[in-house]
Formats: sequence, C-alpha cells, structure tokens
Amino acid sequence: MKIKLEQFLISALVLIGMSLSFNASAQTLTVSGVVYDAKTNEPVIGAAVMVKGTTNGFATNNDGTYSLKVSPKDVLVCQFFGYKTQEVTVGNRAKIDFALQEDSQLLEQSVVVGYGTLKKTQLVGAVENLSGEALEDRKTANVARSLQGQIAGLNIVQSDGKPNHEGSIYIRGGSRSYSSRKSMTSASGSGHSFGNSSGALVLVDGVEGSLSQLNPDDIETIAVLKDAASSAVYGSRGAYGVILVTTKNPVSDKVTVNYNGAFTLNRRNIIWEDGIEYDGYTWAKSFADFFQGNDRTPTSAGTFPNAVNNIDGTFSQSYLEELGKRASEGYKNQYGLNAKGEYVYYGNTNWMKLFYKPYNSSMTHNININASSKKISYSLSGRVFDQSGIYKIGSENFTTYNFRSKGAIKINDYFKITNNTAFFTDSYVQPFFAYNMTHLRNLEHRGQPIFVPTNEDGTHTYWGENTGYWRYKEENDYNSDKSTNFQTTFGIELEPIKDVLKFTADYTYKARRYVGDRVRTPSQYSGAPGVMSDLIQQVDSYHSKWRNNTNYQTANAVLTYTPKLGDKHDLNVVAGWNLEDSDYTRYYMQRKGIIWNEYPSYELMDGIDYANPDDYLTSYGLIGFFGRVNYSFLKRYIVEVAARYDGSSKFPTSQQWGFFPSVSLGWRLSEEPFMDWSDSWLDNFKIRANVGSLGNSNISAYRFIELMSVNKSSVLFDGAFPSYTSQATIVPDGLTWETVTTYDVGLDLDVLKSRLSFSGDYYIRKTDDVIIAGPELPGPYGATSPSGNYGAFKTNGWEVSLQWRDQVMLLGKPLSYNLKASLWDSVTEVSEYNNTSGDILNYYKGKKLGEIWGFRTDGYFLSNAEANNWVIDKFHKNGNNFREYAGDLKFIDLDGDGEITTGSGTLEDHGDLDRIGNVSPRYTFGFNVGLNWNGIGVDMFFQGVGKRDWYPEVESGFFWGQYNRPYGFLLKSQEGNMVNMDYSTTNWTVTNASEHPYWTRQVAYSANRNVGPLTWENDYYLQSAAYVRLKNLTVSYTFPKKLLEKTFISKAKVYFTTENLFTFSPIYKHTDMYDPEVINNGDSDFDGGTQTGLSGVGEGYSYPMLKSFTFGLSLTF
Amino acid sequence: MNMKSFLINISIAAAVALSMSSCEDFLTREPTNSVPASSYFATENDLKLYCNGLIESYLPSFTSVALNGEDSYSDLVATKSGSDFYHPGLWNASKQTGWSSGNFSFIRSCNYMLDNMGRAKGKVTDDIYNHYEGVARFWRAYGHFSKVMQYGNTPWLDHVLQKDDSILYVKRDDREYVMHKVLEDMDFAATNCLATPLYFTSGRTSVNKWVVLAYKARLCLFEAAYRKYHSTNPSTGEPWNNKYESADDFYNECISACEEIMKSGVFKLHNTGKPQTDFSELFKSETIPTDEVIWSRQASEEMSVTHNVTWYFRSATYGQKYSPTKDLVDMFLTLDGTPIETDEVSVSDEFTNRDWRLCQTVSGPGYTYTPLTGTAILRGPDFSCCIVGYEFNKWCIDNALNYSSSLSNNSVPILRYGEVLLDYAEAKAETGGMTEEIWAETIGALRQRAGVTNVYPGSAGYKKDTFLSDYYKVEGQTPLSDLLLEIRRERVTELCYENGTRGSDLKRWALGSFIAKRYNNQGWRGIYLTADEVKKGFKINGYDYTISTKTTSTSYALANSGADATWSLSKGSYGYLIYNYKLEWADKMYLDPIPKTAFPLNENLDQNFGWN
Repeated sequence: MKIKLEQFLISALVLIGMSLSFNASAQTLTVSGVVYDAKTNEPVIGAAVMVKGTTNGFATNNDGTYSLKVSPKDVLVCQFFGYKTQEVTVGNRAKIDFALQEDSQLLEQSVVVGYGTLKKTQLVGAVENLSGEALEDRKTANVARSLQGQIAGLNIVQSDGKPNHEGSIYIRGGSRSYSSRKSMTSASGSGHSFGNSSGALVLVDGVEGSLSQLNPDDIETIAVLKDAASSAVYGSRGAYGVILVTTKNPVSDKVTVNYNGAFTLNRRNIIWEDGIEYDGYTWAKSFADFFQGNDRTPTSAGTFPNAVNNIDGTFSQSYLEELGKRASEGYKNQYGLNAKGEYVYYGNTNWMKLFYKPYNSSMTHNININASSKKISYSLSGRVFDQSGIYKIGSENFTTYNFRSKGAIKINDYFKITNNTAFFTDSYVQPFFAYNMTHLRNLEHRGQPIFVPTNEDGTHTYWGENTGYWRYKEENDYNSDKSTNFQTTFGIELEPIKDVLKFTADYTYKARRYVGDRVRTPSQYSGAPGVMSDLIQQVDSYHSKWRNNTNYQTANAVLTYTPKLGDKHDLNVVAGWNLEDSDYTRYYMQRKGIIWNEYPSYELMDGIDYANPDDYLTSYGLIGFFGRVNYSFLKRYIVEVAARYDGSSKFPTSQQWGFFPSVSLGWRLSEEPFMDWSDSWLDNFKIRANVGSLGNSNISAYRFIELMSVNKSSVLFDGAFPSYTSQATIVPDGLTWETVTTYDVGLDLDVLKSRLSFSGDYYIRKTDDVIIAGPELPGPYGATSPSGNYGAFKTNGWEVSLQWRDQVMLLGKPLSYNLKASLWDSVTEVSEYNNTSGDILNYYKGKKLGEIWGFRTDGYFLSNAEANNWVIDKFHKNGNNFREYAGDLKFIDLDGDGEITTGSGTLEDHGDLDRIGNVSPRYTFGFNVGLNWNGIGVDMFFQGVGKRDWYPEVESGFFWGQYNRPYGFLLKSQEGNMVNMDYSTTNWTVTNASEHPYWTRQVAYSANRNVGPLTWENDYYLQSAAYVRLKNLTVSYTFPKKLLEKTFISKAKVYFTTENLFTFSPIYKHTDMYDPEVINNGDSDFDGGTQTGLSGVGEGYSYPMLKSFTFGLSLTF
Repeated sequence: MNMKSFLINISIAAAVALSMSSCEDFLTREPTNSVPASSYFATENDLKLYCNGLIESYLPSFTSVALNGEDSYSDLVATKSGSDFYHPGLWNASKQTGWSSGNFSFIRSCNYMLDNMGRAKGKVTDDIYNHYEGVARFWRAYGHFSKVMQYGNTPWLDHVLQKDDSILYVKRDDREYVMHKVLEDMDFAATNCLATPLYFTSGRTSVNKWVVLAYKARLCLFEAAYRKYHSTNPSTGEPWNNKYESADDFYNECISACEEIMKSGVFKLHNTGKPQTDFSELFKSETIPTDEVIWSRQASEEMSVTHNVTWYFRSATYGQKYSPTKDLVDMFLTLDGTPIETDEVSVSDEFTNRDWRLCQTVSGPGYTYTPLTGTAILRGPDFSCCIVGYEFNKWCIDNALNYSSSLSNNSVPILRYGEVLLDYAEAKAETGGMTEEIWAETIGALRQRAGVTNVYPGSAGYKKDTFLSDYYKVEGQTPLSDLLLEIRRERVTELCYENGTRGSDLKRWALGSFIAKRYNNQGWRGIYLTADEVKKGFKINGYDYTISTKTTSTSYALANSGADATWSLSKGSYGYLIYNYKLEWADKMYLDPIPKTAFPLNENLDQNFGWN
C-alpha cells in the first residue's frame, strides 16, 4: 500500500476550504461602540468584537472603537487577552460599549499539587502543569512519547521506537547507569550502576501507574512536581520527582458524546535499505579489500578471504571474478555450484528491502460519554489503538484497548461516593528469530548482498534461514507480550464545612496479568542440490512462557482544611495517611522440541526437560503519614512546611522508618506597596526558595536477609542438570534510606496582563547514603565488599521557561497565538564512591556522569614515512604487528612519553587518555508555537538537545560499516569518502588527501578489537548528537458552530498532524543511519540479550523511531 | 505506647481491613524462592546441592581443558601472535589482573561450607559427613594450588574471612607452608571421599576418591619437580627452607597416590586394539570412555551442552591460528619404537609408520571431514587457520558445522588414567625407582596402545634420540638421563594440548626459557618444503598449496625479511617454513606478578621476585 502524503494534505485542505466559504448570515444593521478598560477607562486597542458563532468580527481601532454589520438576533462577543470575555445580544441598539474587567483567572488558577490543589499565587515549589489539550492531537502509541520536551526538567529517555516501550521518565537529570568497556585491554561491555532507581513516580488519579497505559483523551492535566518540597508528601516514593496525572471529570450538565478518530501512516526515521550498498559485486570487492587490510603490511598484501563470516566454501579470487561477470550481465543468473557440488550464489539482494516496508499504519478511535446531574455524574471512555508492523514479512501488531468509567454519587451536600475504574489491555506480537543475535545485528552478520534467500529449486538457502528471512515469512516464530490491567478506586468525600474542611478516603485494587510467549521453530536449509541440513535442530526449538502477576493495593486518607480567615490570611492544611501493599509473582518455563511448527503447545512437544523453571514472589509494604501547611500573609509572604514519616518493609526492622521534612518560602514582590508604580504592567513577581529531604526506597525487597537460592546447574551430571546452591549473599553492613536533599530557588514573573510569563529555577540536588559496595577489600576476602550507604552524588541544574500569549486581528478576525520556550540543563557529579584504584572506567569521586575518555588525534598519516616517525602506537594492528601506517589514525602522545598508552587506566595514570566529551544531553529545550484564527489552528512543537557527544561503540555496524566486521554493511555514506591508498611501494601514501576523506584506511576489525584505533574513543570519530526536531506539527480546523446548527453535531474538528517530521543534527554529517534522539543498542525482545561491547550488541540495532502522518477527526454530539 | 507504635497499629488495623494479610508482619517480608542461610546445611541434600554448586562454578571449562593457554603459548604450538605475557617489555604488574575478590571467591565458597556444615553433624552418617567435608577440602586445596601455580606464595585461607580479618592485611604465606596445608586437605579428602556408585557415576563429573587421588598425583608431581629443579622459591628468590615436605616427599606422595589408583584396578587405558582410533576416542566422543577417564566435563548435543573448541582451531579470526610445530611432530616415535631418522620430509610422507597418536594429534594424510553439505571428504590444512602448515586434529570435531559455531559436543577428560601412569613413571624415575616392569606397565602400555613397540631405554634395540637430547640440552646443566628424556617425550605425545600440561611441565622443570625458544632464534618451525615444492606448489591430502605473495587458505606469503609476523624458509629458497615471531623469557616469569592494583589495599603485600 502506498498512500501519498500529499493526498492527505489535499483532502484536508479541501474540507477546510469548503467550510471557509460558508459564512452566510443575514446582516441588516450596523452596530458600533467603544471598548475600554473598566478600571482605568482607557480604550482597549485590538480587542475582538465578534458575532457569536460566526467568523464575522472586528478589531478595535487605536481609539478603541469598532463597527460591525449585524442582525438584531446576533450576540456580540467582546474578548481580549487578559480580560474577561463579555457577551451582549444586539437587539435594536446601534451603539454598544464594552467595559472590560481584568481577568485575574490566569494568576488565580488552581495548580495540581500533591494531594490537592493550590492557587498559582500560593505556590512555592517547582511545579508545572500541562493541560491535556497539549496532547490532544498527538496520536502516538503512548503518552510518554507525546510528553517529550513539553515540560522543563522532564526528561523522557526513549529506549527505541517500539510501540509498547514508554522509555524512562526522569525529572531533573537522568539515569546514572552506563556501560563501558570492561578494562583497558578488553572491549567487552561492562555495566555500571549506582544507587537506586532515579525514575519519576507516576501517579494516575493518585495511584501508581504508567503513562503507557493511559488513554491520552482521558487526561485533564499532567502535573510535574520537580523539587523535594513539592513531592515531600510522597516521601520515599517521590525522591526523584512525581508526575500526577488527573483524568477528566464530567463537566457539562447534559449528555455529551465525543468521538475522536485518526488514521496514521508511519515511516521509519531511518531507511536502512537506502543507506547500505546492496550491489553484490561492489560489496564483495570492498569486503575483500577490508579483509586484506586486516593483515596487510608493506611486505604482504594481506590474506584474501576464503569465506564470508567463516562460512565454508564461498569466497575466492575466482569467485569474485565470476561475480563481476554476473554483475555485468545484470545478475540475471545468481546460481552456481562449486567443485564440492555445493551451491554458490552470485546475488544482488537488498535484504533490508526484503524485510522492511516503507510505510506502516496505525489508527485510533476514542469515544467519551459524559453525563451529569445534580446527584450523579458519570463519564465513560473507550479507546482502541492499533498499529501494524514495520516488516514486510512476519506479522507484527500492536493493539491496545482502554476503558475507563469515572463517576460520583452525591448522597447529600456533604457526602459523595466516587469510583474510578480503568481497564487496559495491550498486545504486541512481533516476528522472532534468534540465532544468538538481535535481528538487525543478525542482518549485518548474515545479510550479505551476494547471497539469496531461495535456491533455484525453491528450497531455503543457508542465508535465507540464517538471516531469519524464512522464519519471519512463515510466521511460526514469534514473540508476544500481552497484558491485562484492571484497576478500581472507591472513594468517599466528606465535606462537613463547604470549601473549608474536606476529608477523602480511598481504596484501590490494581491487578496486572502479563503473558509472554516466545516460539522458535526448527529450521532447515539446503546447501547442495537434494541435501537438507538443520540450522536450528528440532531439539533446540523451543517455546518459552512467562506469566507475571501483580496484585497491588493502596489506601489513602486525606484531610484538607482551608479556613476562610479574611483577606490577609490564606491557609491550606493537608494531613494524610497512605498505605501500599504489593505482590509480584513470576513464573517462567521453557520446553524444547517443537514437532509441529504451527502448534507449539507443551503437550505437542517432545523435549525431555522443562527448562529453567522460575517461580518467585516479591512483596513489599509501605506505610506513610504526611502533612503540609501552606500559609500566606497579605498574599505576599508565603511559607509552606511539609513532611512525611515512612516505613518500608525493604529495610531491616531497626532502620525501617524515616522522617523527611521540607520547608519553602515565597515572596510576591509585586504585591508590596512599594511596587505600586508597576501595577499597570507587572502582574506577578514572586521569588521562591525551598529545601527538602526525601528518602528513596526503590531497592529490591530483600537486600538485608542472608539467603541461599537454588538454581539449575549448567554442568551436565550423568545426562541431567541437577540443582545447586552456592554461598549466601553477603548482607550489607547496614542498610538505610538513600536521602535526596534538594535546594531550589525560583522566580516567577507575569507581566502585561499575563501576556508574558517567565519562570526559572536553579537547584542543587544531593543524594547521600547511596547503597553501593563498601570500600574495596584485599582480594583474599573473596567477595564483593559488603555494600552499605557509602555513596553520594550531586546534581546541579536550572530550568527556564518563557511564554508569550496574545491576540491580534487578521483580516478582520482575531488571531490568537502563543509562543513558549523552555530550556533546561543539569550536570550530575559523583561526590562519594569507593574506587580505590581510581579506575576511570568506573565511577570515581568528581566524575561527571557521561564523560568520555579517549585519545586526541591529529588526522591520519599521509605516508608510511610519516607514520614511522611517529611515536610508538600499539593500538594499530597491521598483520601481526602492532604499528601504524599511512592512512591510519594519528593519536597524539599527550603525556610525551614517546608512546601511546592508556597507562593503568586510573586517574593518577591515564597515559594519553583525556576527557574528550560527554554523552549526557545538555541544554535540552522545547519550543511551541500555536496559532488560532478563524477556526484554523496551527501548532508546532520543536524539541531538542543543545549539546551531546557520542562515540559509536564497538560493534555499531551501522556507523563503522566494514571497519567493524569486513563482512558487515558497506555504507553508502562511506563509499568514496575513504582514503585511497597507493600500496605500490613500501612507503605507502594516501593519494586523495586533498579531498579530505573522512574515513581512514580500509582495515577490517579496526573498530572491532580489544585495542584498535577505532575501538578506542577518540576525538576524530567523536560525533555531535545535538539535534532539533520538529516533534509535532498540527494543522486543525474547527467547523463554525453556525454550520453545525442544523445537525446533531455540536462541535467538529478535523486535523492533520505529523510527528518527527524534520530533524536537524550535526550527526547527519557522517551517518544517516542513526536517530540522534535514540542511539541505543538492540533490546532483549530479540534473543541474544543486550550485552554491549565486543561481540555484543552495538548501537543502532534497536527498533527504529517512526515519523508519522495522521489525519484525524473529532466530533462532539 | 509511643507514637511510632501507635501509628503502626493504626496502619496495621487498616491493612488487615484492606487485605486480610497477616498483620504483625506488614513490614516484615521474606522471599518465597530462597532459603534463609541460617537454616541451610541441615541435610544430606543440602550438602549435595552445595557441592553441585562448587562443580558448577569451578569445574574446569571445556576451553581450559582443551585450549589451555599454558599449552597454546608453550614451545610446541605456534600461534599468530603469542601471549602478551611473553612479548618483550609488554608485561608488568599494571597489566596483570587476578588478585581481586572474584579470584578468591572460590576459596571463600569452600570455607563457607566448611564453616557452616557442622549443622549437619549428627543428622547424616559420619561417612557421608566426612565425604562432603573431603569434597570441600579437595576444592579448597585445588583453589590454593591454582594460586600457588600462578603466584607462588599465597595466603592460606581456612575460614570465611570477615572484612576486618587480620589475614587480609599481612604478607603472603610461604609457598611451602601453603603446599603443606594443601597436602593435608588432599590427604583428608583422599581418605574420606567415597567412591561408592552414588559418587562415582558414568558421567565422571562428581568429586570422589579417585578424582582426589589422581589430582593429588598431578599436584604432588608438580611441586616435587618444582622443588627439585628450582633452587629457590621464585616468589622470594630465597632458597627453599624445607621446613615441611621435601621434593622427595612430594614424589613419594605422588607415587603412593598413583599406586592406590593402579592397584584398585578400577581404571585401565582405553584400548580396544585399534591404535588408529583408540587415542582419539578420548577427545572426540560425546560419551567419554569411562574405562580410562577419571574426571570429565560432559557435553551433549541433545541437552545443548556444547562448546566452541573446534571453532577456535578452525577459524582464521576466532582463535590464534594454533598450529603444531615441527618440533612437536618430531617428538613422535616411529612404530618400531625408534626415533625418526630425519625430519626433512614433506608433510605427505612424514606421517607414515609413525606413532598412531601423531595423526590423531595433527591432521595427516587421509584426514577427512564432513562439509556443511554432503558426505565426508578429504581435508587439507587451512593455511589461514594454522600458522605453520600443520593443523591440530586432537580436539576437533570433523564436521564443518563446528567450524564457526559453538556446537562441538565432545566431552573432555580433566583427569585420566593415562596421565596417572605418566605421573607414576616420572616420580619413580626421579626417585630412582624405575624398573623395566614398571616401565612396561606405564610408558610401555601407553606406547602399546598407540601401536608403538615398547623399548626400555638402555635395553638392546634402544636407539638414542639426538633430536630430543639436543632439544632438552641446557647449557651448564647435566644432560637428562634417557629414562627422563623418554618420559618427557611421552608426556608430550600423550598429553599434548590437554589441561595446560606442557606449559606447567616446562615451569616445574625450570625450562621456562623454552617458551621463548625459537628455531635458529627466529620463530616457530613448521612444515618442510623442497625448493621444487616452493617453486611449483605442493599437495597435501589431495589439495594444492603454494608459497606465494598472498596468504590465503592454501598459500603462505613469503617475506623478504624475517621481520616479526612474516613467513620465511629456513634455507632461504627451501627448508622449514618459519613463522617469525620473537618472544622473551625471564626467570621472573615462572610466576605472574601480583597485580599493581592489589598493593594499595594491603600495604604488607609483597611482590614476586623480579617483578618490582
């Protein structure tokens, strides 16, 4: 299916055009008047006076006057930014004046905070609210994707483009985990992590939940509590910030039905098939060149490959010649036999094209029914989202269903019963083929263009099976994740004194049932006419099953007291209690030996062993008491105190309880009498400061108990794998809360009737008592030093956001617009860590997270003579010699010892290594532009990162191409951009130096060794992964009410929206195979794991991000 | 009632109302899939499971048996680039690793059992109890012995250390003391470990009396020779203090351990009268020959327990292009028990009439394999996988499917009766107790299995091997007796590329310099080529090979110079193919240096002699 984008745009425009021309109304008389400010009596210039329900309008002139043709029945609407809107029925009047009242609502609006709301003026913490409208037209697979970049300080780190992955959500900072090479001599990957999870707590209507399970159309507001003072009431769960999602409540007093539907076309952000050279002969020549480069020396031309990726009997000089001949004939005949009677292929296969579709589609339908009466209010919503796969072969499908019912029954004026029930299911089925590698890396290893998937006789080739092509195509192998989620909250609301004293209590039960299945069937191929061989033997085929259940209960009781104490005092008191109880059970089992590929039932399999049974329960409990007092005097001086007392089952009895206080101060200078001079333009000027300390109990449940577990041995004992146990885990020296203390100062400014708003925060967040391994002990101790609360780190950061909102008249009709820019940054530094040796690959005191150590370079050598005069450099391996030649990268001897070394890889002795960059994203920003005119809305949202370095890891074949593995991808971006060599004399020279080719000499494995010039981080190949992305562009049209009067539709809107349309990034200079927003390794959905480093999964093998084009319709009845 | 308990009580009341869960322990929870350590070691099964865990973690891996670095980087195997350890000037204490907690977790595991198993006393019979204590002490001795081989002096650790244990902060124990304690553990294990059918099964995986005895023989022979051939403790450079056992004590311990096994009659050489294949069956079978094998690691295709040993040998890039050298080939006798006359013979001819173990160690004429498709065909050596023209055969599965995958399913012997015989013969010869009868029973039996006529050194018909005596000639040292030379020959031809035997033999015989010993001081010596063969090419096993300017699977590129990592011919235009590669030896290399990173953690730690 190929639907052109343009077709979408055109149809949308036609619809809009049709409705624009519809502007008919009988206009018989002229009305005019003046619009002035009720307080100052000054005329208001630029105010819109409109006939209600039409686009007929006028903007007031310099003297505040207007004039309009109307009919007597018309209702005039006068509106202007910063004032309350007024409506007047015309009747027979010819002159109507409007005295506009200032609208303080913008400042007085309520802000959602922990366990309640506060007026914006009372707010002293770093809290930002986002209206659900901002996400309304974003048809992404889950809400987290739409939130990216919308709120300063909220960092959403996408793992990849898979529709069921929501990424990680961090407030102020990011993950503290990273992986590095294992040691100075081993490029295998090694993971590092430090401290407890630093993710944000997400609460949906007060209950711990997940953004990916939310129906975006249900969202009323999203509140982000960034500092310790604001999240203090969440205690040990909110140490790294809280996201509060409030779902919509029924509002209207009649029945309304809203339908919102959209159809989306998605295109992968990276089109691999266009960036990889798939001409068989071109590829093969380059393969041979790279392979020979591996051990080429001035006296030897290097070893000519005799196989591709060690597979027997394929490659030779004469094969290459024959391939050249077949290529010149247009690859008409791609088959042959060798001397042993085995198949030989002369192919020209674009494997990526065989696997991937150019476009895939998704659609969503949402219905929301609202009803409300004096006693009962109710809303029901349902949504279906369905996204098809990116694969041409193999079924991939993602489907979710949401259902929510939310309602309240008013027993009397003081007592209300509420219920909020949500149901969510998701199902994600992906094709699956595991031959010890992730799918894309497998294609790098086995998807060489010279091979073909099918033999002449129709049997499968070794390559067709080994790439997974046939496994995908036959659709018997799959990976499926399905979950069913149910949640219900019963609550009571008692309000003995209306608007003053309120008590709420609720109880929630939440259940999640997850079912995972993975099937790998046996596979055969034919390597010679009439001979079938096994690739995956029947005994190795398997079906794995996961069954995970979560049962979660929580209860809250909250008392809110907001006494009316006159004009001078505002008091808001919240006190409450919270309890949580969670049980997670997991079952896993695998059986081998599938007999019928279509029926992988355990009962139809013949494996003798049910492997790897896994059956466990994790359970924890938490009790908390909290309170908050917010008091403001004369609306100027604000003080807030909050605290929580928490008990957690995850700590030993003696250290189970923690107390976490916070205090905040605010001063609204704008309300001071001495600032009266500024009243005409300054609406709000507030300085805030707060400090708070929170605990973090995000650790695994049983860390402090000495336990012995039983596993199945991998060593064969007389034909079976017996059980075994080993010495007990060493319990920590002591274990208590990780403490997170945040200091925050902020400034809020609103001027020009709130047209211009500014908000800024600077913070320091210190995390102490982080649980890490204890000080290193001498080796003979024989175990990792007992862990304890030894570590600490510190994050410094700031956030600013600036917003401008206004309205002007355009072609006689009001054009309202707003601009909002946010910019934020943070740096996390390790302040305490046990790293006696000063190993630079690990954390150490003073380490800024994300720093990259590597070599400084000075281009490449132009001749062997030049290379010979350079210092000793054992990072270049040529043949079996460790030395450098022309065309090789030139490392700089920073420490001047006449040798390029990594020293002992410690802070004291790091040889020529230097900090060459930092991988942490810096200067993250978001920029919104919104316009609304005559029912036409245009919204643009840019998002990006100002500074970020990236050094492509070992095995990142999409970057390194054949510098990684010679049998890997030949990248089009590298072709013609490599040094050309003259090898004719022993003094090799680079012949195209004047063209400044980016890529050094063709040496296979130079990016794939423990020590190799490209394996080691260096500033020559360091990439800048900063970017700006047009994350979203939406064009919508809301049909005029008049047009709909005769129909049963009360509101209708059509819109066209795209996600990720354009991206600008310096990364594209050298590679078009990476998405700067998501540079990641493959994910564990595909077997082979996510081990990084040498022989692991390099970067770029993850599911691609999608660019999408959506056409949608929203109707309200 | 204080505030805290009041609050808890409120919550518990609410919790009960909520969930009906048992209330006292709302904040006290335990996992369901682990056992509290305090109640473990109460039953026989607890002991058994724990010992399974020791096997799980510490049973030598497939590659450490069949591809041991001590063999790969010894004098008789050519490799692409040698071990960094032996590269001139490359190695030092900063590069060294292996003194971190992970390297001692093994010993801690053993002590954890020994410290805690007392709970089982009285709950299981004394025999069972002592058996398991023996197993744990065997492993503890095994762990310490590995450290002694690597570092010489090492701390003797006989209990689970606490983090402030003084042992952590003192000098290493003297090797002689450690070996004395190791011997104590081994003796206890040899006396108490059972060999009842429960522990001595056809899989040969469990630790039992025989495993302990055979390992004890290996260990004692190692230490005995070390004390005899080294005049000083290489950790300190000081003479041996002989406070505990002497060299002869260890030889005698070796002898008694061997005799106990030999007299039991439980084991015999795997000899079905087919000298062409009997030897190979020990290394290429999934079902290991249990007549000979004492301890093994089992592979199984059906259970997907497979390994990558063949891949290492048959890959141009995965391994080190391991290649047997001419020196290794020359050590094999001819079938009549005499040494070869000359080694200036083409590959196609030199396998004729030789000890049948030769073609079961090195692929020779007639060697076949099964390609990915079709049936078995002849195979010539792949020059891109072997650096000097000879290809290993010993561990390789003769099926191309194994050449680039971890699908090899041959089980590997860790200890076998053949080695016991060799240990016995050597200990006897070193202590002057060798007789013609013992010879026939040991070396003679091994030769007879390989189709070689047994000739007792010194007897009529014995022909002195000048190549061998030259090979072992060390300036300023008394030449070895024929007996010892023949025993050393036999250790190579029988145990080549098994368990790192060659490397540790060289070290215990104080012949470490052999590791860097090269033909004419140039490099590894490979196949012999005549001038004609160099010019016109030659055939091995039906395949055509050339010497040219390009290295491919059938060709080596000759370089003008003998620079490192190039090929040349010993006589310029003909002769032995030499792979030029220089390595270095210094006597400090008998031991690894203590890693530099260990010193800041223990200021009393001492470095090995010569590594400072």
